[in-house]
Amino acid sequence: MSNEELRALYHETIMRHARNPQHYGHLADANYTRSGKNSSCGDTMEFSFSFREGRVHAAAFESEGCAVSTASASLLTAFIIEKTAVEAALLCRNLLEAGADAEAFMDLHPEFACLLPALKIPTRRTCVHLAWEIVRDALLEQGVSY
Amino acid sequence: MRVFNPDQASGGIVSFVQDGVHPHDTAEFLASHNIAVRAGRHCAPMAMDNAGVTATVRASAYVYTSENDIALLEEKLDECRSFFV
Repeated sequence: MSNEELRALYHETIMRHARNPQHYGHLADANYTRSGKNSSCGDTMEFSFSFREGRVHAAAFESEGCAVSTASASLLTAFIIEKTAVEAALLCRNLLEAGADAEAFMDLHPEFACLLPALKIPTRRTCVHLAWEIVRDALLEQGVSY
Repeated sequence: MRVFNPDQASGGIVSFVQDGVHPHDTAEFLASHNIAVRAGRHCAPMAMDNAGVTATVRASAYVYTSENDIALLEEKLDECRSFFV
C-alpha cells in the first residue's frame, strides 16, 4: 500500500469520525438493541435504537474496532436518524449488495464516498460492512420489508 | 504499548497492541512503509479473550532481519500513533 493509498483509506473524514464518532454510546430510551461481531478480526459493535412510528427516531452505537469500522458506524448512524425504517433498510441493502463496486451508490450518497477505498480492499470491506449489516438486520427484525 | 510476551523466549515473534490504535490500523500503516506484520486474532480467539483484547499485531524477525529493520519498525510505530491518535 502506497502512502497515497493509505491517505485515501484513512481519509480525513474517516479520521474525524474515528476520533470523535457521532452518536456514540447507548440510548437510555432504546426500544431495540442489536450487536454484531466481525469474526475475522474480532471487532464488536452494538447499536441501540428508538423506533417510533416507522422511523428511526434515535440511534447510537458502541464499538471496539478499527478506524474504518468506527467511522462507518458513525456516518451511518448520523444518516439514518429521522429516516423511515424502509429508507434506512434500503440504504443498507444497496451498499451491502454493491460490494466493491459501490461507485453508483456513492454517486447517490456522496456523504459516504470516503468509505469507497476501504470497500475496494476485501479484508477491509468487512470493517465498513459490520455496522451496515447490524442496522439492516435490526430493521428486518422490526418487520421492515423491501 | 502493551507487549504480550516481553520476557518470554518466543523466538523472534512479538505480539503487541498500541494504545488507542486498532491492530488492523497499525498493520495497514506499517504496510504503507513496507513493513509486513500480521494483525488480527491469529486463529486464536480464546487467547485473545484471555488477554482481554480483540486482536493483536504480531511482528516476527528472522535471520534476514537487520537491526536497522527493527529500528525502522520502532520509528514507524511512533509515527503510527501520531497518525491515528
